[in-house]
Amino acid sequence: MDATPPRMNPFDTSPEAGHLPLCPWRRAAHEGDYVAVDHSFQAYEQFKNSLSGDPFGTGWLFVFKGPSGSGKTALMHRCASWVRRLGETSGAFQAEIIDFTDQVPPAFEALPVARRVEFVARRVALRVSEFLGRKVGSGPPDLVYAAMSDLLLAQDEEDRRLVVVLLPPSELAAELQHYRYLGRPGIVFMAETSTDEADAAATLTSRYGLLAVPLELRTLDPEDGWKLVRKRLPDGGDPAFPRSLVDSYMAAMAGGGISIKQLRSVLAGAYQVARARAHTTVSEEDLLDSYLGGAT
Amino acid sequence: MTDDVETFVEQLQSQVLRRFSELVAAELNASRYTRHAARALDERRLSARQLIHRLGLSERRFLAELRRDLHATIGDAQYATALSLLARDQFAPLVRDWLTGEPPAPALAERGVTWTIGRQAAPLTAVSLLTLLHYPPARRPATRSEAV
Repeated sequence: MDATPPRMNPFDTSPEAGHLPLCPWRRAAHEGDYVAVDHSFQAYEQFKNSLSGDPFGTGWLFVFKGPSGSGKTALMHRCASWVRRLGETSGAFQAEIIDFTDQVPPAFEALPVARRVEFVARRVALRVSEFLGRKVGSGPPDLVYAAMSDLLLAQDEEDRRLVVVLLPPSELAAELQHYRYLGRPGIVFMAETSTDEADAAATLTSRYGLLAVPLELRTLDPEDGWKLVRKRLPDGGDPAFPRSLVDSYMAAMAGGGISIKQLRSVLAGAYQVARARAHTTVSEEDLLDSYLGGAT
Repeated sequence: MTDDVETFVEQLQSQVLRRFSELVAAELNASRYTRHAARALDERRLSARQLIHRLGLSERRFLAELRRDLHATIGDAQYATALSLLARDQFAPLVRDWLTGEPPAPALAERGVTWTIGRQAAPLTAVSLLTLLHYPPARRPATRSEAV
């Protein structure tokens, strides 16, 4: 009987494996899983620079823009985690993270913008009431956030809280525009919008001249494939990925642009197929067959 | 007549989903690494959504492409937006209501679908859209006015 525990797939992206998207403020181990690919590190540095002064000085709206699968949600989680650590290390505040990225009902997507904004405001007010132990008044979202901000700023210095709201994904510029005006001191909004949707991405900066901090992500550069493999398999791996295969795959997919999500899915599949076949090295055939999920 | 409209709308939705699959297949056919996945789609061993999920592809990007493709075929932005939303589960019932003559739901209006077709015009509109999808302008024989 084989008592060897199953090995983890280092590229696994399945939500069941707890790897998608990365979320270091929930799982501290995820912090080490970020790889310097797809320009995400520049965006991360940009975020830290923006907020490292006085996070309570104003309301904030950070908009993470990029193609689907480019790691917007993972970067948002990383930024939220950094804010939490900033508060802990400085002792200046405690960050309360309220996450709507995957915490909305199924019908939420097709709700009108006004109702979506109201829904989020109600939930945030409820959470703030819970951790402050004081009731936040109800009403239109602008009044709710203003009341919340007053309560947050009135806290004693040793019990100061900064509320970080990770907004549900939005494809409408008009929705993000609401948050531009709803921001108040003590509240940091983080939003993600896909550049696949021309409306939100283009309109935000052109029509509305958004004053918030847009953080742009792009698809991967050709060398990012090997960078990811080396990071996930520092000892070469068993089975190992030959660099020529990874580079050749990245070159072949370069035309349409490949996202970090897509790359991780493909590497995870190929790794699994090669392992099932007891190969010591992942072959092109393993990679091709993994597309259909077959490890025969 | 209502039943007729609903049948036409169902056919429209099937056509839109077929186009969505074709777009996914076209992209997969473009690379030797993904060509046999495209075959699985053609042979209906896997659905477009299953492949998108399995390969970590971007459903949003294909939906945006679908809207552009429909716009090029139909020549109207509002119909293109509405029909592309038929491929999204949460929006499909709203679009179906709109195609049968109801005023657009707020979520549709926010996405640019603002006019009301009306119950009287709904059957003819649905049939016209179906014709355009079945026989895109480039494939139809030129009419006299187009040939001039």
